[in-house]
Amino acid sequence: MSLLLTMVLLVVTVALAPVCCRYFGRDAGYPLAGMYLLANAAFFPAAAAVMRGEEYTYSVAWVSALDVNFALQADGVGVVFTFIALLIGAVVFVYSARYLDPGRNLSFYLTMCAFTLSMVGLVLADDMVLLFVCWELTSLASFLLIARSGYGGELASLRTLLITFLGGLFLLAAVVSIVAKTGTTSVTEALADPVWTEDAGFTTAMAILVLLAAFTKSAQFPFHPWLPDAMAAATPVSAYLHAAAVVKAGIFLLMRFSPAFHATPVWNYSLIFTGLFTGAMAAWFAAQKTDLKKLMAYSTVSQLGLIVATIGIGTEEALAAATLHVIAHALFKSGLFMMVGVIDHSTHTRDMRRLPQLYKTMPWSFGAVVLGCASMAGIPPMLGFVSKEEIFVAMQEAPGGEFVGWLALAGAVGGAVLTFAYCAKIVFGGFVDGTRTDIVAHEGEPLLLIPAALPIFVGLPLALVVGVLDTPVQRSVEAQLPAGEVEHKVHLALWHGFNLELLLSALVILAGIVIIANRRRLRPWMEHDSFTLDGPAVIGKSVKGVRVFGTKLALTVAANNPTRHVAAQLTVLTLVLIGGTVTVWQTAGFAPQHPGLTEPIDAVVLVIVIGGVIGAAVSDSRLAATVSLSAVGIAVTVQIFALGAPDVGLTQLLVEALTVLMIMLVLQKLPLRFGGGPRFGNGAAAALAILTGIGAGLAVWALTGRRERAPVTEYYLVEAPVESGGDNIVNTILVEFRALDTLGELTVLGMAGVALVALLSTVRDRYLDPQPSEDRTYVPPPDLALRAEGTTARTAMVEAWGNAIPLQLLLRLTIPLLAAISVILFWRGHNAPGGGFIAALVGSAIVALLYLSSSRDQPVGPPRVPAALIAGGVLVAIGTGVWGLLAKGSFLEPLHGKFLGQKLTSAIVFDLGVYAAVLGLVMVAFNLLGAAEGTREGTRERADQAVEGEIEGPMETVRGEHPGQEDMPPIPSRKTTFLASGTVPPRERRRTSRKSGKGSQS
Amino acid sequence: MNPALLSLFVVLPLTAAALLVVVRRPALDRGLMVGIPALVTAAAIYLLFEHRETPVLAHNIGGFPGGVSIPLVSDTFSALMIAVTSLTTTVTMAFLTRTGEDRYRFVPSLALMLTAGVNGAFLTGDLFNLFVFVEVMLLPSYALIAVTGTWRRLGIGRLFVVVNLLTSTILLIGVGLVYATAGTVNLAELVGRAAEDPRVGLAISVVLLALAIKAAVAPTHGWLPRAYPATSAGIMALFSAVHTKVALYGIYRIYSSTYDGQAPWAPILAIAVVATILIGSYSTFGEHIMRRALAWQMVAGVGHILLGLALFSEFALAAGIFYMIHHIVTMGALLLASGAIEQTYGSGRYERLAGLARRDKWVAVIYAFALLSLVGLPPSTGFFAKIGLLQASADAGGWKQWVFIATVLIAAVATLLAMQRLWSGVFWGPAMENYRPEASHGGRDRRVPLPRDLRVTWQLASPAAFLVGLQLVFFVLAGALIPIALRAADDLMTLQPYVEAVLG
Amino acid sequence: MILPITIGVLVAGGVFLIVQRGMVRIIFGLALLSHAANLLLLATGVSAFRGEPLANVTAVEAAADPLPQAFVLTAIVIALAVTIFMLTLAVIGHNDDTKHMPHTGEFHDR
Repeated sequence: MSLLLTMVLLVVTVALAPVCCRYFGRDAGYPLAGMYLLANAAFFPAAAAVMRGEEYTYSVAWVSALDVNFALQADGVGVVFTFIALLIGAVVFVYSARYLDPGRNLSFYLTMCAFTLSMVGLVLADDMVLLFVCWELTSLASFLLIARSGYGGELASLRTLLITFLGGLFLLAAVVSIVAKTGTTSVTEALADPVWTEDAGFTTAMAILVLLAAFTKSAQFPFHPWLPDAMAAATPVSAYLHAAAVVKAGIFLLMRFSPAFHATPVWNYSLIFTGLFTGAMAAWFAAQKTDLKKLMAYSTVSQLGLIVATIGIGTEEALAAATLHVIAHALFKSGLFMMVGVIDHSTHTRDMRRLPQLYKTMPWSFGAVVLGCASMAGIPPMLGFVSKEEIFVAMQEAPGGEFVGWLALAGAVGGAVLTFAYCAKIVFGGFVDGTRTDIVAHEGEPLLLIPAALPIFVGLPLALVVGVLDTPVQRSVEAQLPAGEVEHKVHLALWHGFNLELLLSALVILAGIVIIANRRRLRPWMEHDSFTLDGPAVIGKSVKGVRVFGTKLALTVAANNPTRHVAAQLTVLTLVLIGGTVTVWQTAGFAPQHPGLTEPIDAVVLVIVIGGVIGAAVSDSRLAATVSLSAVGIAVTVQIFALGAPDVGLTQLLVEALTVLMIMLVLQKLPLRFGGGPRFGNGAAAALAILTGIGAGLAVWALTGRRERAPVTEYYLVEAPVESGGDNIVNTILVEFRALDTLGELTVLGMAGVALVALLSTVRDRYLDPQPSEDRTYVPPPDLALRAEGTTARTAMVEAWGNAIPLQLLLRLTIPLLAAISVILFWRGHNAPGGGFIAALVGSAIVALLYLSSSRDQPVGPPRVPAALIAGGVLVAIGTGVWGLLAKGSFLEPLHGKFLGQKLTSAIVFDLGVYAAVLGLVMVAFNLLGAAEGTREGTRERADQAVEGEIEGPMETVRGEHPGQEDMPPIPSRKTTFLASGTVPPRERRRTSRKSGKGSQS
Repeated sequence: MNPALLSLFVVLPLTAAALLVVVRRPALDRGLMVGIPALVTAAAIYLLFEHRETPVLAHNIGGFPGGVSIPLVSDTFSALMIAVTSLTTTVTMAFLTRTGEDRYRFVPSLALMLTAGVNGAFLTGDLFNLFVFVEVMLLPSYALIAVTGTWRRLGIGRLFVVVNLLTSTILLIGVGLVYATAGTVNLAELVGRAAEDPRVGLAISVVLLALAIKAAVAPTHGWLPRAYPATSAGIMALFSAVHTKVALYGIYRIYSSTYDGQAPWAPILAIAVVATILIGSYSTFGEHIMRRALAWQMVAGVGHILLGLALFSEFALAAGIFYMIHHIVTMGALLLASGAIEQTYGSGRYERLAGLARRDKWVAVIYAFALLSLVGLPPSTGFFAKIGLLQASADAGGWKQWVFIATVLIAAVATLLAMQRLWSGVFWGPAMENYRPEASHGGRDRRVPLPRDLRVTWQLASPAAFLVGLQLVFFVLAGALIPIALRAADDLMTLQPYVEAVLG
Repeated sequence: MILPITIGVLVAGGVFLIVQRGMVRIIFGLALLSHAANLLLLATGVSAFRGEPLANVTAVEAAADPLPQAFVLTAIVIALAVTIFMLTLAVIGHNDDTKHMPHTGEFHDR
């Protein structure tokens, strides 16, 4: 319960933050710190229970499907880290209340609270997924805290996010693998699973993933660069981030998983090596820095390295030492960071080269920093000394024999010396050796100084009575080793008597004193940048590399013309067809072909098709290609008839004619010849074509005509006439059995007309039908030597209307005839070849003839009719369907009845819809494609008329808004009336004129 | 519910579409184009509840015997898809009414026809009818892509039409081959046929290939990131919500019912999936226009979704389906947010935009949350979606486990990098000086100094905000949502109810 | 035996034209492809039965499979609709080269 209460209180704190900031401004730190203490109090019962060595858990299901629970559990490690997070957090908040500039500072307090929440959640989580969630949330929080510090922080925060995100992915991989392997999401159960002792390979893999994740978080080599980067953040953030939160999360993760991995060699060695290396390296960098804050940052990296190495050793002693050093580090590091802030506040600089002699003006700060550094450098009687001693002891137990132990110890001692060096540098460089006299520094105000110094001063008495930490450390050690593997009791003390560790500490201090003595000679030598490789630059380079790769990858398909995309698709298709057929052939083989598949007529068709296809493919003249295309169309029609499909044949024939007409209408606006071939050349195109052709042919040959009639076929042939009372089975299928298909089909057909209008009304008149001067493809008509004025020949050439008269006369006769045919076809559709669609096509022949017979390209029929026909057609068809739904209980279910002795079904009404839709589309198509340049009406104008009715000239606006619509809401963005006049802006005009120039040359 | 009413999912939008061709009142336009999808959403959610008792609802159109007439079938999977897609559609339509694109001629009617086609494709249990409904979905798309958007729309429209028409032809050929080999195109009758008869398998493979091209699976992915960004943000959001998703739905449905998840070419599928994920996520990093980058993320998303199919276990399918839901909502949010920015400042290029985090705080917050979801960080649906996929991969064990987990994680890094580039380009950096106001005819004018008071209006940002809120809700209610995905997956695993409901 | 070859030839021609530059050529290619698809569909009802599926004319034994014919009809119509739309796209700006963007008089977004 107490765990839940703690979490709830922290959530409340997050919720409270905005309110506090609103009313108290920067002083919000005080109430929020109070909340933390409250949460801490709430946590006490749990802590006490753990100290008594009891289990303390809370759990409620979250995503049961994934077996994810909101499960909390307090153990030794959790308790230690929770206290650190909450207490340090409280101190930092008190400090912030004076450190921050006056103002709301909402983003700071809000993020910090979220930060603490996720941190505590992390250390108390007992569910793998929950643990991961909190882990990622800490990353996000630190990212935000760094990002909020202005432009300077932006890049740094991105690098931080990148590295921590990387770590998150390692952890994620580990989490899902562990859950999958152990079959539980509970952390405790997973860690207690026998798999860790049984499956060495798996354990090793997991160990690597986990430690990589931890390294990213606690800035271990090679992931260290982000932490000094994080400097950009405000000092309180750094203090918390370095001492209690993010970087400690990495340490926590190691301790949490230590029960599983403490005996895995790869774990031990990589932790020890990386830790000691990072420790030494970072200590060296720290000693080089003159910016106090940067120095502190590197010192954190180094201290963490020491802890990581200690955890790596994995013995009780070592884990105890690690725990103790975590506590010690949390205290002195948070204090020191805040002290840097104090100095910054009073001198407005953190660079020790620009600092005056501070120890006179800021005695209290001086004292605090000296103590802090003493603790960091491991000088008695500070807590840091005790932990350092413990670590020295632990190092000797390093696995892998004496030698490794001594090596580790040497590394630790070396690190300690460097640590001593930079601690000395802080003290002397910051307070003693200062030369500047122009800056008047003053002691920081108490409310700022006290919270800053507090953690440091706590370290002093704690060292004297370090025994009180025995139990917590004991419990935490127990939590870091498999159950029941802890024999000894932890006993911490300041004085261990004369032993190796004491000797080593003495040596370290001695070396330190030597360094202090010669610091004036050492500093310049150290501070010249010996090590040039800079982390951020490396990250930047690698990121740039990825970006270049990405750009290249995107460029592989960066083509606006379809060729490349289509080619890829066709290639895959070919592979599937040929490969598939061959494999099936090999494996299953094919059933024998049905006898009598071929008729002589097929061969004739084939010959024509080959000729036509070649013609269409090779001819460069658009007209010639069109002719060959229609030849192919006819051949195919013949084939269709030959296959016994009269309805299809008729349709194909009429559609063919219609299509050719449309193409001719379009060709009049296009150049006479085709442009160039595809980029990859006609050879490749031909190869691809032939292969695809072979594939298709192969598949058809292999898969068709090798079975008996399907049952559904039998049904249609036998039952359909009875069911529907129509003899033309195909037609009955279309309008009754599969009327839904037909409904979709006629919608597509009709709406195609609507789409045309919509499309054309998006382009301005002048760009739809460019004037010859602007049309780069325009070919001037040949000027012929005409006969003299008044001769018939001349009239025929000049005034075309006369030429149309014969056709018009003919129409007087043919139109009624066609109409009659159309009606008959429509009527008999149910019983003989015909039906709504075919009839409509015949009807649209009337439209075509009307269009052709007029001497000028003028629209057929009144303007708004087509749209009405289309919509009407669709609505009628749907109406029939709904009628069936209401009357018979199924959509599109036909109703049968008798009328004048003729069997009737509602399907005939449905067919009426088809008829109307087709007619509508054909009319639209003729009216819009028919308009040629030099006619009275442009394409755009006709598109407008198709909707608005008769109007004079194209509309002002494009994209088809209705001219006078007042009730429209204003488009929510700045509008200009620029271009409304239709004048081409200068840039555009230049381009078009250039184009036309080119056109006339070519 | 009477299964005969399933037809209304198609009839309603279609009727509205036809009506709006003749009756053109702005108020009616806007009312119907937002109202109808909303209605459909509600109906689909009702269906979801219905399916807890009766797993499958089927109706043979025209009342002819099963196997002869076209069945409309609804189970948890299809109902879920309809619900999510039409919800996103509703929001997108609202966005269109706010950018004023609903005033472009016939756009409302075409958009409604699109939704009719989508619903039909989700419900139909007949392969040829699927082809028809895909066409019903595509034709308005051809128009919409060429009606809205920038000067590139017409050229890109050509690309879009050609690619899709070719794909439809391939689909038609595939369906034909299915009929040639199996003697039926009724999905219920095709159950398990591909697995037992390799000839049917080959035919089905052609169908799946066509759908895969429509879904932009590598190596045939190239057309999508070229075509989609050329249209307007609203229409792109609409497409991303429905187009690829219909294809993916088809692949899930057909693959699992005809193959029982044991296709001989499963390894090839795995390779294609991995390639799609990696290509999509890495190419994102190469782009420097918001919606182009997002288009690449759509490709990556397709790969992630198909991961569930490649693993083919009930949990894996559920993970894939959940990812699909997450992807629809998140993509919608991102596209609409980008659209709001473009609509206001006239460009989506990183270098043309800057410092919006200080200018439009709330838009930045919305965008940030959507990005979290895209990258898969908590708190977002993307997090659970990713966990689900990884969990499924881990369960698979063997080489699949490591290959798939590695793929997803590597892709995540690339996505993060790309989104960092977008973020620092658009939302951070110094304040921007100039922008391109909207020209009177829907295009954009040349750049002019940016007025101080110009902000992304709330009515433009709210649709995206709604979707982001939705995905936050999904994050918290994941516990309630994932079981639905599991039931949907169960529909795909146990086919008996489906067959019985259709063939009786 | 011959029908597959015819279909193969149509497909080959269609593919060759589709990968060309000019929109009109691409449209021709797609037209050829849809011819191929239609013949394929008809072939799927076993092409040994070639009687017209009219109940009052042809005996059931000889009648061709009506279902594919219905499919083809639908396919033809859809193809017609899309072809008309594509022709319109091709003609805008009097230029059907798919490499150039047709003019719309709007500013380019760069």
